[in-house]
Amino acid sequence: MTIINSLDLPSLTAAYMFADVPIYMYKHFRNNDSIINLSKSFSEKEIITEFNIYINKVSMEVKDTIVAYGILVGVTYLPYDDAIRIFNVLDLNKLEWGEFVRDYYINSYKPLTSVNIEAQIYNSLISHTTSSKTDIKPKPKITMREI
Amino acid sequence: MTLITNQRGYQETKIVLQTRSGVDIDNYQSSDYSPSELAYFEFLKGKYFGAGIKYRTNPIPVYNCHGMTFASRRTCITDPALIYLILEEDKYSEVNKSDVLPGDIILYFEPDKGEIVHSGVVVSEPDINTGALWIVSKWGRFSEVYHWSHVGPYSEYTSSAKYFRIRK
Repeated sequence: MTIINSLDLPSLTAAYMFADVPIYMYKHFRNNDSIINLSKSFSEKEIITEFNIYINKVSMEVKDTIVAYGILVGVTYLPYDDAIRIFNVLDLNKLEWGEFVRDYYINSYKPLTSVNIEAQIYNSLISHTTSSKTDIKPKPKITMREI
Repeated sequence: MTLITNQRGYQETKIVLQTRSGVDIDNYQSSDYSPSELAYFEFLKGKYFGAGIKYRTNPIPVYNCHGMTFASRRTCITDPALIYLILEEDKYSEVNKSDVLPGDIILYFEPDKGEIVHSGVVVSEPDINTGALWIVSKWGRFSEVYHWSHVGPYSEYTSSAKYFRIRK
């Protein structure tokens, strides 16, 4: 499956057409399930390759623009460091609001705090000790997430 | 009018646009639609129709909502920071919804960070019973529409809409 086939193009096209300002497009793209799932379904290499294909078309149709923005917003669901690494290799200047997507993501990203990590460890321990009858010490799973 | 080349290599134009006190407002005029865009507009017309929505124009690429509201339908303004600048420089002040009159400006705000996402011009007083009012606004790259302020693709922002008027 290619990225374009995985995207909810009717909804994304409407969001793009109605966007008077980039934040409208960004928020509607980001809340779209097909965008949320994009980073789970495709590798970094596939994401970068397909983005480059769409932005380097000689005659860029509106559908190409929407797919490129879709890929870009999909990148924001990757772990922060991965997202930044990919943004750094993509030619964002080819899209009118490309740099906005990157900058808005960076500015609105909220890193984990130590309190939050501790809370997750605590919850993991409580969950384990109340459901397990073994003496094996649980290894808390710390997942990165935005707060 | 100045000819500019956008990021995709397409040519656009920009005009001299200034606030009341002469501060330049960046803008651009898009000149055309692709065939697929035109086809998609027909789909959107089928999606948004009925009571509370009347299309005033065919799709017009030249201006967007802020260009309609603040630049006499001549160009696109897409930087929300420039809208705040216009509000300040042109001496707009907020109006309570109960005091809104035709000719006032409606701004739709994104609730999380308070960014302006859409604008239009009020063309009716609020309904005495429901508070609903009619506005005219340009829907992105699509058409200019006469609609209830709570109907259309920006309806999710209705509760955070605010109204403005130049008073001095």
